[in-house]
Amino acid sequence: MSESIVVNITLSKEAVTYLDNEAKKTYLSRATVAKQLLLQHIDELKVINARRLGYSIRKISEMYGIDYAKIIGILHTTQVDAGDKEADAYVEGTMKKLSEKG
Amino acid sequence: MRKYLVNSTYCIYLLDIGEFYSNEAIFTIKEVAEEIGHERGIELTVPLTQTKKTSLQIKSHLLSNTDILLLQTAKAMDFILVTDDQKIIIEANRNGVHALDTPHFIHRLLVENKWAEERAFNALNKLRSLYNRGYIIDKVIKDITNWR
Repeated sequence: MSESIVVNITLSKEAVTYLDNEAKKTYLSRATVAKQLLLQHIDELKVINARRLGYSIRKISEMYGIDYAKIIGILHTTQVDAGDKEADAYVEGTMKKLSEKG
Repeated sequence: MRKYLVNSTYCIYLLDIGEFYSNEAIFTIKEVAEEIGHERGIELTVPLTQTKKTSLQIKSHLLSNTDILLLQTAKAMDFILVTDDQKIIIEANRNGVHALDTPHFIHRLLVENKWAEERAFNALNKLRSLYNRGYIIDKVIKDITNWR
C-alpha cells in the first residue's frame, strides 16, 4: 500500500470559495474536494504526457493504474488526440479501400 | 463477408450512448470482453474469436499485450480493426492492418445497410459529447450527407 503524506498549501481566497461551494453541493469537506480536483488534474497530466510520448490507452491504464474508461473521458475533455494526421489519414484510406471493394 | 474486430473503445462508446451493436461479422477477443466486463459490469454479447500470433513491426513498449494481440489477430485473420486509439491505428498502418474508428465504422454500418441513416446520425450526435476527436464526428456526418 502506498504511503500517504500530508501537504499544506496556500490558495487564493477565490480558489477557497470555489472549493467551499463545491463542497457544499457535494456534501464533502473542503479538503476532500481539493484532493479530488488535484488527483483528477494529476491523472489528466499523466495521460496527456503519455499520449504525446505515443503510449496506447491500455498501456497508460497499466502504467498508472487509471481505469481505461476514465482515460477515454480524459481524452475527450482534453482533446489531446486531435490532429493526429497519420492515424486520421489511415482511417480515411481504409474507408476509401472498402468503398472501392464495394 | 467483411469481418471486423472491435476494441474496447468501440464497446464503451456505444454502450455509453445506448447504441451498442453487434452482428455476425463483428468479433472481439477474450481480453477485450473481460476488460468491458470489468469496466462496465456486463457480459459483452460480441462473438469472440481466437487470438492469433503473427509477426509485427511495432514499438512494443508503447502498446499493451492486448493491443498487440488485437493487431496480430486482425492481421492474421484479415479482419478490419475498429479502434479509437490512434496509437494502435498508427501501428496498424505500419503493419498493413486495415483500421477504422467508431464514427467511420458507423458510416460503414450505414453503407452495408446494417443501420438506418437516422440511427447513424443519432449515434454520431450523441457520441460528440464523449468522443476523443470532435472534428471526426463532424467529418463523418458531412461524409454521410455527401454520400447519400
